[in-house]
Amino acid sequence: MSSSAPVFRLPRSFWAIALILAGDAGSAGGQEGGNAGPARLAELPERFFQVQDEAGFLWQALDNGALLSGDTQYLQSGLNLIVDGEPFAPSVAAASEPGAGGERIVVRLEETRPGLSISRDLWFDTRRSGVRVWDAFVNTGDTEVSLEVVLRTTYPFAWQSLHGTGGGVLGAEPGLVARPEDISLGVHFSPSDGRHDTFFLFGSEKGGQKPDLKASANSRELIFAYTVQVPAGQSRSLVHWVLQRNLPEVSQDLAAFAPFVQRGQWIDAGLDPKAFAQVANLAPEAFPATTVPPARLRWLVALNELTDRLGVSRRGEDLLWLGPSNAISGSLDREGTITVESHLRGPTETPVAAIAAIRGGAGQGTPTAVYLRDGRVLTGDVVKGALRWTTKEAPGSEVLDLASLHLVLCATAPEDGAAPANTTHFLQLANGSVLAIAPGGAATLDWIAPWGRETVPWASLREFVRESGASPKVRILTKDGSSFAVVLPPGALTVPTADGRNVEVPAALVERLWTPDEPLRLAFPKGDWIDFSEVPEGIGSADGVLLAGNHLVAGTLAPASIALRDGATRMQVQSDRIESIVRSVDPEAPGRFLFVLGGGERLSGEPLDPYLVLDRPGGPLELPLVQVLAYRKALSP
Amino acid sequence: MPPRRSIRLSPRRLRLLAALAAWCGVVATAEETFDAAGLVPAAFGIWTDRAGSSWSVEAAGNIGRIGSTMVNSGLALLVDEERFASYRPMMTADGKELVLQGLPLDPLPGLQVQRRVRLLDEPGGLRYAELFHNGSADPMTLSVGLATNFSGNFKTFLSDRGRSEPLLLGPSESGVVVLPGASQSSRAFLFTLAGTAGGERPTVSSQNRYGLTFRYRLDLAPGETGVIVHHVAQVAIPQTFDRGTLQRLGAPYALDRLSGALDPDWRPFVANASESVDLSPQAALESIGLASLGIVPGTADTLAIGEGTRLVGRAEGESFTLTSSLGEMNIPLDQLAAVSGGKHRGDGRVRLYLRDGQILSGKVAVEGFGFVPANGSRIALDPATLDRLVFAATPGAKVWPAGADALVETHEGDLVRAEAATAPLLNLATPWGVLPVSLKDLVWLHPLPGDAPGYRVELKDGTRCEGHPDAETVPFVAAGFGEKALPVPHLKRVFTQAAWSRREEGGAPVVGASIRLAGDQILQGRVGDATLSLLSEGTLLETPMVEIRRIERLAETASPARFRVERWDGGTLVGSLSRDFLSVQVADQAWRILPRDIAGIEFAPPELTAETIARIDSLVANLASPDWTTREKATRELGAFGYLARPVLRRELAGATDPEVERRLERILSIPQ
Repeated sequence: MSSSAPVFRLPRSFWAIALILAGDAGSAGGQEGGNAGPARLAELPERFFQVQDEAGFLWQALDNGALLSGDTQYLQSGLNLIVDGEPFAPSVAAASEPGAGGERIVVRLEETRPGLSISRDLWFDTRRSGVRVWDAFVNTGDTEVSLEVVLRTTYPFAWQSLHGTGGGVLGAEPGLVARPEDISLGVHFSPSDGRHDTFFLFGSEKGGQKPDLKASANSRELIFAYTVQVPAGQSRSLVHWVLQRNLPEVSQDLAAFAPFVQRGQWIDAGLDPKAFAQVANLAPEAFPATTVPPARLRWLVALNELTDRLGVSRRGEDLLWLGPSNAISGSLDREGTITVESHLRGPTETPVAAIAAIRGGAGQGTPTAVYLRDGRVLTGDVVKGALRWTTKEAPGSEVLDLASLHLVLCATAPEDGAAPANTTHFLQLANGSVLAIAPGGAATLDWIAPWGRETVPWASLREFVRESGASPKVRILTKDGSSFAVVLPPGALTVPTADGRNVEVPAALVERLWTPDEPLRLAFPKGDWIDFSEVPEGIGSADGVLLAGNHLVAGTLAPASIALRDGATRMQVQSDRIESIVRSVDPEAPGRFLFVLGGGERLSGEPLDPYLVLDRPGGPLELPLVQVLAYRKALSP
Repeated sequence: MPPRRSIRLSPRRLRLLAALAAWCGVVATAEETFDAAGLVPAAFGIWTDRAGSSWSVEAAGNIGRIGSTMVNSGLALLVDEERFASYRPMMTADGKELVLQGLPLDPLPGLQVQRRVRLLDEPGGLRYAELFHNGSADPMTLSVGLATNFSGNFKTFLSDRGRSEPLLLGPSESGVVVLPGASQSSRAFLFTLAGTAGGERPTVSSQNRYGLTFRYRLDLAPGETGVIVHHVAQVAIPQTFDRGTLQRLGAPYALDRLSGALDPDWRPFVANASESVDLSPQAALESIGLASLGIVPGTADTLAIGEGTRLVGRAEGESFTLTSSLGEMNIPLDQLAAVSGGKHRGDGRVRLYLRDGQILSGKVAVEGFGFVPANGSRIALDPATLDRLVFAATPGAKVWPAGADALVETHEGDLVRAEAATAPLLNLATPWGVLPVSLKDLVWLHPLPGDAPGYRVELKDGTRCEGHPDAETVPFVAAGFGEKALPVPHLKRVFTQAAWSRREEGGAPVVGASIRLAGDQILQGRVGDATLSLLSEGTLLETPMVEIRRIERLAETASPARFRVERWDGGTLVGSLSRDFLSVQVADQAWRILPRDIAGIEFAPPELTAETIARIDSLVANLASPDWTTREKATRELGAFGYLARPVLRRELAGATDPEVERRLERILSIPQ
């Protein structure tokens, strides 16, 4: 155990609060601005919510923190925590559920024992498809303790074989032992069983305590055992990733680990950097040095899109990325400036120190893209200045050939993600350029909506994106929640940039617009919504209509009443009583709507007027009823 | 039943037909055909997808039971209730797709059936494609059933829009989730049965909660091919069953999202997942015309009251005075084809169907309006409370209304005769430019599929584009009412005589360039750039546009978009366009098109210079030379002309009398380009 761990002595009552807060600091560093962290639960459920990750695997946590493969019977009880022979029995829980608005899906559990506080923090990383298990032990007593920590995993069926990193089979005789190079253990089932494999990431080539492994004779129980020394008043922890995978060959595990471990370092383990030194099974060097809170990095939208696509992460050192399995660490000379010339902006000079990444031509003639730390992207030719690279442990530096270069990722820095002053929006063009723009409060933008030309203040715009595919148009999202497809008038937009210039941008090249410090909302999955319940969070206004084709228009019903027909019966419904309207999905009655009125009354019928008139700030808007799928009114508080 | 899409014989369709004919013809006899197609004998076993679901697919393509899953036998294929049996199961070399050729079905001679079952790693589950080819000389209407037996009673099934146990999937529904009974598996089965944008919907029949059968109707003309695509996945049982949850559950498996797992050549034939419900203008006119009243005009007038009462006789009255949103009009009784009264609306509004094809609605005043049945007693009628009155049919075939340049349909249900105005009807703003639309150029204008806001226009030159009108009103001259400005939200469709006589097959001749764009859109225009800059493996290649015959997008999802460029001389280039956009002159305006929106471009052949024609003629003459070397040289040089010489060579071949010249011309023309 590292002896350099900081020494704190704090009252015992502090730790109960600190454990939950520590989790907040660790995982919730990634919370989106304004989103709440995990909510403390009044009582522990027997099972927490089920999570399906983006690879399709199901996950669930039990009340004792053990992991299950959801409703599937593949992983019965994963990393069941037993400390000094006693099962972990938490009494306090906090959770951030899927769809609750938090960026991360988290379960935190805590148990207090005499002289010891134990917590387990589970982060369900749906994007990378894995669960990070962080077990923290806080010695609240007066003397150092040695904890026997057992993590027990059981399966309802026998596995076929156990594998070390790279796929090598681990023999169980005379005892199950991880090889020095093993940082993981794979539990492999026979393909004919139809069960997927489990992989546990427990270490790094950078060092750290390795677990003693034990496997039951019936091949259903697997144990990782650690001895953790915790000085008085200090904390120590263990971190693991659990993955479910179906790999054609177990030897392909390294590729599966790539999003989690690169060059011996654990990428985004969801821990506060302050906690790195306290992790018993990983040396502090196993975590990339990072100087920027992850939340800020996320505002580098264009760069994140690139790194996500390539499956690489920025870290605390510069990286020359040559391909998925080739990356060289070193340093980019920060001195000097370069000038990038594009046919839209002309020459733009930028200090090298302001660069977050550079995408070169990769030998394919692709134009260079310079990703700046403030979110802008300059594309074009580097007409002045050079970029010099020094490889670690190699003498001298070399000038980078941008035409053949793939990617340089610069180390993260505190200024990452801080938009240039005055920036109200970022505007991305089809050629990859991103401009920081600052249209004044009175500046307006024209577009052609389905109901005609509209002029709107830039300030009312939250986001837009050019949709490709079957019907390419620009889909906008305004601050009132409206979201519909528009066409930008042909010709050029004159856009005032944050640095005080006016740039003429061909409307045909406009790709995307977003607001700094706001999560992107229009990257939602496709699908035809027919009801507000299907509309993703953050889109759609409290009052408004949903039209066919996923168009949402904010507004309230303009007429005082709506005439309905049900067979031969005619009814008049007062608009102010209407809480929602939903079109029938019955193919036999496509023109019928269900009207939900205040007080829970429900009416079903066909409106007589072929148009629905909506009151909007710009004036009443007449919408053909055939386009209307649903209407809702904001409920009074 | 949604209207079926007719089949256009595009080159792609012809290629697929040839391929299908090949497998239909040889599959039962030539083993090497399978090998040539990259297929190997099928190995059956258990597949596991990345979502962790295991599948056992049996020889007929149905799902067998594994462990505790709720399905005993899933998705057995029934064609007219005959169970599909595979002749010789094969699979693709990667082992991910079973290709099951069906044994002939006795009651359906000439029908060839093939099942293709593919395990999808992403997003998991099995994608089925059922291919049917009518090799007979008669049209066929098939009932295609997919039967699943469960290991016990299932609890219930819900559509992805939350309807409980639907008998027929609606237009917005694309599948069902079947929830297991108490003693069954902890996972539900999600069947995706139709595309979200349109296509044939199946009926769903339940057999005492242990079986479910989905049935499609498939009409196949002689020589026609149809494909039904569907998917099955095992999913976690949702905790709630609201529309949002169910929609999110099914979204990853939407057939439209699985398009990458479909052979692009099948797509035009897919019956249950069309990109859009392509209603023809004739069908659209039919649907709003007299047929919508549910009464076929006879030799006498018919008064309809409710569902059952039909009185035959004679309507009488003075002229109708109609007051509509367009103005006031006097309509003599003999100009009326039908009256749909205000009985059901209750607001006094009446819809008049005129014999010239117009449909006008509003308040009506008429003196002496009544109906005299055959027995002679008179019934006084009030249009405001009338149900329907259909006048006797006039003899003769249906014709386009004389003097009408267009029929303008509103969302109120009116169909108004329009006369061409000098100004364009509207300017349609598209993502690439603005298209002026005038009645003289228009075939028809109609809403986007699924009634989404926006319009699609089809012009006589073959242009087909979507967009939004850049106007608040649409000006037109309404016959009998004068100049009118229709608010854009009121405009539904515009038909011209060209739409009336429109045939889907054949297209406008290519003038300049025909640019195919995303969303089945087509522009006729002239490419404004003098050269095409193509980045090919890091090398920038500039090719004059006049030397390019065709540009074809290689893969829909590649970024940046990659293209194959075919030159008139037969050469090809592959790469990405190095410019930000392609400039195209459309209707005297410069349009800018992003490369990723381009599906392909066909260029009109350049005019050959007199010199070139003379050179070709001279070479053709040399084909008849007594000197073998001269003949050979001429053959080679003519071949080097590529596509450009072909029209001349075909003409020469048609008139050739020398067998040597004929043979050599045939040889040159048979060289694939």
